[in-house]
Amino acid sequence: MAKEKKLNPAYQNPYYKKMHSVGRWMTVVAVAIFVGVPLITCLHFGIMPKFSDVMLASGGLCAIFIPVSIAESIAETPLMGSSYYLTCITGNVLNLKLPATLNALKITNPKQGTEAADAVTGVAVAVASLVTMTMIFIGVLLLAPLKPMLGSAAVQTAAQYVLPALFGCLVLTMFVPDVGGGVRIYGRLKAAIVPFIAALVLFFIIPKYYEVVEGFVMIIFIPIIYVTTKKMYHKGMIKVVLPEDDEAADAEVK
Amino acid sequence: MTFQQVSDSSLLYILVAAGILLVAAASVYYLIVCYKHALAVGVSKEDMHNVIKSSVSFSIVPSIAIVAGLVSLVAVIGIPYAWLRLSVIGSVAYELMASSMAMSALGVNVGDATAQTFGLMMWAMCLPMTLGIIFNIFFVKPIHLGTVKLGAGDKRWGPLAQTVFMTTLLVTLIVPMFGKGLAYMLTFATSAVIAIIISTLASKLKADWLNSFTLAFSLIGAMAASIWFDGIFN
Repeated sequence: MAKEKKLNPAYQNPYYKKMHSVGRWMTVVAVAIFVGVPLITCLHFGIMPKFSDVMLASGGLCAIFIPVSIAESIAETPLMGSSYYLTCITGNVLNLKLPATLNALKITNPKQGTEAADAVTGVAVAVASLVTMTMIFIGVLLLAPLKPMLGSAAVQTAAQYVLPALFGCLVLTMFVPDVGGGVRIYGRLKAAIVPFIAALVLFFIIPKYYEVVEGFVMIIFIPIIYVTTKKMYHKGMIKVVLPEDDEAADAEVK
Repeated sequence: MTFQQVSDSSLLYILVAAGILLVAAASVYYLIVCYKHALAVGVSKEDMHNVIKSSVSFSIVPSIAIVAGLVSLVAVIGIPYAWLRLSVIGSVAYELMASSMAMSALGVNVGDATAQTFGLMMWAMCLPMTLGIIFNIFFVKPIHLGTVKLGAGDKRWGPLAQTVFMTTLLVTLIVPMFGKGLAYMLTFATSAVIAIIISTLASKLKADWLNSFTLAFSLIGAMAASIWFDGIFN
């Protein structure tokens, strides 16, 4: 780890240093809130459960959700960057924060993996978090009058289709060669064809559990798609066009 | 003391409101710092305003879906704890699953639950996700900064290497859209078609502002269409 810190200049970057420090502290405070609310409530009302009962009630959930959230952290952090701390604290990752990030990157078109992409992602995650908190607060205030409308069959049905409605639009970004910073990449999806088919087969084998193991699927796919992309790039099957290539072509024409 | 006396107590309201205010303050701080830094590294003010407008407009619809989930969750765990769990950390699907798994592990239902049951449910819902995010304190920084340097030595491979993560995420996440039935698939396709129509219109009418609302319009249009698709195919 110490060697990695010395070799990787990103560790010396003041912006990344600050954001990760803020994110870590924010997570510590959030954990204190999440644990503090049940702790104070149980102590005040004298209803603190026995540890063995807590383990009985949450053992199954822990067995599923701790590995899943770790797997998702590994897979989602490279894209969300330093805002991943806030993303996890405010929740609703797949149905809100991830689409907000992809949308913000599409609008500003920064080069991926840069400070600009990280900062834009942070703005999108923070805005989406604040909007959700405000909407839920309004929902709590107006719970009684809103109940018939929110509980109606039409709203309950539409609420089940948030993910396809979000990802239908966002998936188009995969087909656009422009990946930000004026860089265009042609043929990058070729590397994802086999993993996509494999994931589809897995879904049909375990349809009920696919979403639970999604994080693990991502972890397995990242190195596979990475290595395949690299091989295809070296063989010329995936082409990368830089802004200076266009400038050189323009100069040649002139 | 009954389940409801604790689950709707003023103490719980105060604790939850204070916790949410702290997280909201942290979000505002993040927003300011990231906004300023984006401008400092060359992102235009106009682009940043478009990001904010677009994020606000598109976040409203999924938030309504979350509020619809709040109605279901309130029936199980009362208003304040449902408010906390959905405003921070959780998601509708997880919270509903967690509360029902906790109750079935205890062999109780909402009708005969006591104040002790509520205490136990709070812990059962809190522990798994909270333990999961403790991982972030130690590992998000090395994962993020480790990937930032990917392909640093090669000007062409560098940007290509960075796209691998987004491709992997999307490839994995869109699979259920193709396997959950025709209504799901058609909702997905409708959203894509609306996005293409808006982008084409924006380009033909030279109305760049329209692009900021692509996701919001696609989402509303596709969700409205989903009611119809669901009626036909399910």
